[in-house]
Amino acid sequence: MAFGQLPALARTYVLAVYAAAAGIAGLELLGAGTGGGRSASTGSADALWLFTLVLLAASLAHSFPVSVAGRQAFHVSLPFFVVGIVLLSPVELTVLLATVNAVEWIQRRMSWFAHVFNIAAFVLAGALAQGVYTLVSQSATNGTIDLSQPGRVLAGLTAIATFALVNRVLVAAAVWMGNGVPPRQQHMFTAESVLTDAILLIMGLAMAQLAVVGPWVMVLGATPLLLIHRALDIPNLRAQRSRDALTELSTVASFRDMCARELSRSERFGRPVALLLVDLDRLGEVNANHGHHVGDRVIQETGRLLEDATREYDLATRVVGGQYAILLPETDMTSAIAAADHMRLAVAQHPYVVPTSMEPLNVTVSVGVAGVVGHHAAVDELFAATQSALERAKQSGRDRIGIARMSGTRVMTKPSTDGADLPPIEIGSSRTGPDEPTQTEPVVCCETSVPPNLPEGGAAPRQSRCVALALGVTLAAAALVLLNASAIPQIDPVAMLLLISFVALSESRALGLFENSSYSVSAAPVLAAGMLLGVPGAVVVAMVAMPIRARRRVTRWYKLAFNVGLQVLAAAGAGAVYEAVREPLLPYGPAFLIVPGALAGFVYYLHTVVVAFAMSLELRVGVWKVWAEHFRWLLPQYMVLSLLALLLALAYREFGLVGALAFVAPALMMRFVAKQYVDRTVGNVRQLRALNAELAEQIAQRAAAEKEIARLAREAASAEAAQEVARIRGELMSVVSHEMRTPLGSLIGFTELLMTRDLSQEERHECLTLMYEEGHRLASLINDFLDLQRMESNQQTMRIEPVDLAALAQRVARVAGDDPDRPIELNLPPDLPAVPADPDRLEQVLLNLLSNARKYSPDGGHIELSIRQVGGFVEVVVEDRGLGLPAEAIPHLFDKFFRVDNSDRRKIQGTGLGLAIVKQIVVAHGGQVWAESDGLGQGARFCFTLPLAHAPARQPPGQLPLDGTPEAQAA
Amino acid sequence: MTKVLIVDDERGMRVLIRLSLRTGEYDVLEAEDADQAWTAIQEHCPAVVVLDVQMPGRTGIELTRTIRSRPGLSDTRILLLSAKAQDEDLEAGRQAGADAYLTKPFSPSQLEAAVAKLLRRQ
Repeated sequence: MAFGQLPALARTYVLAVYAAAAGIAGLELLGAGTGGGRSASTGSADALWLFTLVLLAASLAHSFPVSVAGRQAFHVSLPFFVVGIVLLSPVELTVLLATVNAVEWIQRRMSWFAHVFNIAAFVLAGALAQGVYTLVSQSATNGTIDLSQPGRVLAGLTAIATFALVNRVLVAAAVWMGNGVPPRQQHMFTAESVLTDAILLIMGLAMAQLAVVGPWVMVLGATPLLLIHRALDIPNLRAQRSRDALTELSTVASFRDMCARELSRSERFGRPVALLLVDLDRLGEVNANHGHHVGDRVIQETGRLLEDATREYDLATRVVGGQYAILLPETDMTSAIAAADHMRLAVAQHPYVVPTSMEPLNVTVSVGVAGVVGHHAAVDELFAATQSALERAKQSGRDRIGIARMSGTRVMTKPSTDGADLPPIEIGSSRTGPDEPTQTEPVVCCETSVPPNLPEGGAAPRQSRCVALALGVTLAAAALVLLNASAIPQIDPVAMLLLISFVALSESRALGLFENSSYSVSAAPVLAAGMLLGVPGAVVVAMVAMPIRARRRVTRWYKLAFNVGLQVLAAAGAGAVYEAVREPLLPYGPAFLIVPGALAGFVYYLHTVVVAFAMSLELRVGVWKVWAEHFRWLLPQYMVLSLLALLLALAYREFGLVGALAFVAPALMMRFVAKQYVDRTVGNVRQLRALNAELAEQIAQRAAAEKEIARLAREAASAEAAQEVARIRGELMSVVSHEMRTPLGSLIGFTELLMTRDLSQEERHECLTLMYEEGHRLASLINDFLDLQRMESNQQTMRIEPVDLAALAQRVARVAGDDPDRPIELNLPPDLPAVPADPDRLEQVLLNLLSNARKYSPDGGHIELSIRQVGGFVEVVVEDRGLGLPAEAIPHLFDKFFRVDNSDRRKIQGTGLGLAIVKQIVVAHGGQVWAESDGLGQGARFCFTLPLAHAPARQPPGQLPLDGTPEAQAA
Repeated sequence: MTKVLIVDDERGMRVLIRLSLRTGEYDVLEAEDADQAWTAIQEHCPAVVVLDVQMPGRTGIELTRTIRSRPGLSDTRILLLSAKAQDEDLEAGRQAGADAYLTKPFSPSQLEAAVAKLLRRQ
């Protein structure tokens, strides 16, 4: 945006700020010319030295802004500005502010007017803050320049408040006028932003105090700024991570993360872990011959197959193209090879049906296998080993498995299909069970953390060793306290109170990590106690911390005693080392105190080894492993905390209580840093655990829901079934009653005629004939109906025996009788096998079909009865050259009371139950029945099959009472 | 002699109806379906048609409509026979122009009385 594009009001405002800043700078120059400078307390050489140092440090700090959301940036140069406000002359301050912003100008290259405006705003704010500082400090302290005076601190606080306020208001107004963003929506006024700046400014005040001691000590005090810088930047790093998570690459990245985690777990617990690389063979050929869409399909389908072949806690991901990586936790090489071959076979035996080929594609994979048991291995090593194993498998002809022992690779010959030269593939039994979730987590503990709970039961010897250790530590600490008891009353009560409050504050704000560990910055006050008050003070302060922590958690008494004792010992050790090393270094100036400070921190840090030892007793894992996993990361934290403790001690000694207070804020800031760190490393585990819990809950919910659905479905089904039964029964009753009433009505009518009328002989004969027919019809109807009813309710007893179908067919043809117009032709092969069947029922079926064929061939025609063997079945076909069947009737032919309704077959009598009975009988034999016809007038074929081995496939065995035949017993 | 046409697809039913009507009082004609019946009606102009409702092809109700649509046949009495005693069949028959309705199964005397009653109305 160019200056001309700004709204008129904004332009005027910006120009006014320029003018004001220029005016102030001019006044300052005039003031400097008349010798009204304020850095009178130090000599001119020292003043120049300080100015140069602050300028350099501020410029450096300003060059690394932390950009956060909302186009806002934090600058850790802020504390140096405070130093400038407090200690530099107005001209120097103006130069400092202008120079630092000029550095930013070179770096960021916004519009010129914006940079100039920033400079002007800083200069104005700085000048005003300095004015306020001078005013307040002079009126409150009557001109003395003793920074330990509370009045000076008040002045400093007022000055930094003025500085922050003026700068913010100036910038916010410009943004409002220039961009139209109201101050409420500007991130500058969020609590986080204000708080961050407040902490930075208070740190500046502390540094200004240190600068009075010596410019180099101020630089020492700046070290926490690095931490703060990191803490501010961490949310950005996290945002970046989650952004990456959206891309394909991050899938692989997270897979590698998981691999790394599993590897470290494997190393820690001595458990096996294996990695498979599965690669599609000749994917390029598939792509070339069938196109990439087919290739993609093969890739997808293979992914699905592999996923099916993995256990639920295996982790699979597609690496690239047709390559998949599968991590098998808790899996030794034997099981991993078995799993790999299982996958290889799953793919090789799977028919890939693709649109471009009639035949399913044959796809194979080559698999590389590598595994580690309990020794250290990097993810890259494991990947490289697996990759080379895969390459060897490819080179030796594909569709096989390459195995890498982490030292050297060998290729196994292609395993035979039954896996004879492989260890037996027993999925689920040869592999170990799913790992316990509690073990997968890297439990981050620190400092004097309470060791995790002891395993319950069976661990008595271990527990007694833990108790013994705790007792030893406690006794040593108690002895130490007793030794120093005499010195305790002489301790400076103010410093003691300050440090105890600090400990209490940091312990009550301790970060909970997992159930049994936490992180706090209480090391800083404990170490400061050692530096400031000597061993007795350190002992007292250390003793205070643990009860506060213990109040937050229920813990065993010996653990508490152990922790208190250990902390006392560590604090005393640190204090003693500090005292011992400090003495010879004192003459060289305060800056050299950093050496004993760091040493004290290190000595204090060593107590984590003892904690690790205690934990190793419980976890039954090597001390070194526990320490490396839980405490190694804490070393820098302890170093910084010891530095802060040193600054705290120095500040208290030089400036009293208020000076020390200024360093509490940065120490507490460490908690924030640690929180970010913990959130990042431990967050993953927490997330996993939460996901796990959620998953378990979902599974439980789903199981419950499924149960409920099943119950409802059963209820609904039974209700529906009952309704259906009622409906069918009603329908049946109406059909049956009609079908029966008609012949019955006729019988009654004829009887009445015979009784009441004077009929001729012929009429009488006609009557009786019809009565006989109707009676017969009624009887067969009732028989058929009862037959069907029995069969449908499975009450029909079948006598299964080997039946010679040819003989049966001949007998049925004889029973059916002669009909010269409709002769029955038998078409029987000589070697028909006997069929397990009920001969009477089979006869019923054949008679029914034959009589149907004759009935529906009113104009005559051959009836053909053919029997042949088809595979494990015998097929029987009855074919006629009669009326044929309309296509729409065929699906209903075997329904009860279904009649093909047209005039030419209306005269044909029938109960409408014959084919329904046929179907029941055939199905009860485990066969199938169907009808075919080329259409009306084209004749019909009725076919049924019977299985050669009796298997009433569609009938539960219990529903077919079978009598003593071998088949029946076999069934 | 009064001509009566019996239309039913079942032979047994036709015989029963024929024998129910006393020989000598009626000249009984028989038809197996609506088409045969229509031919017979046009040829013989029966006074009464005893008509089964449910037949393959055209139903009794359809034939009733055909008869009623012919002006020259307005005097023909129609007795519908049905196994269904439901109201809608009865209603359909009435609307088509049937004169009486008899539900199967019926006794010979019921039928005779029904036919006689139709003829008396004439």
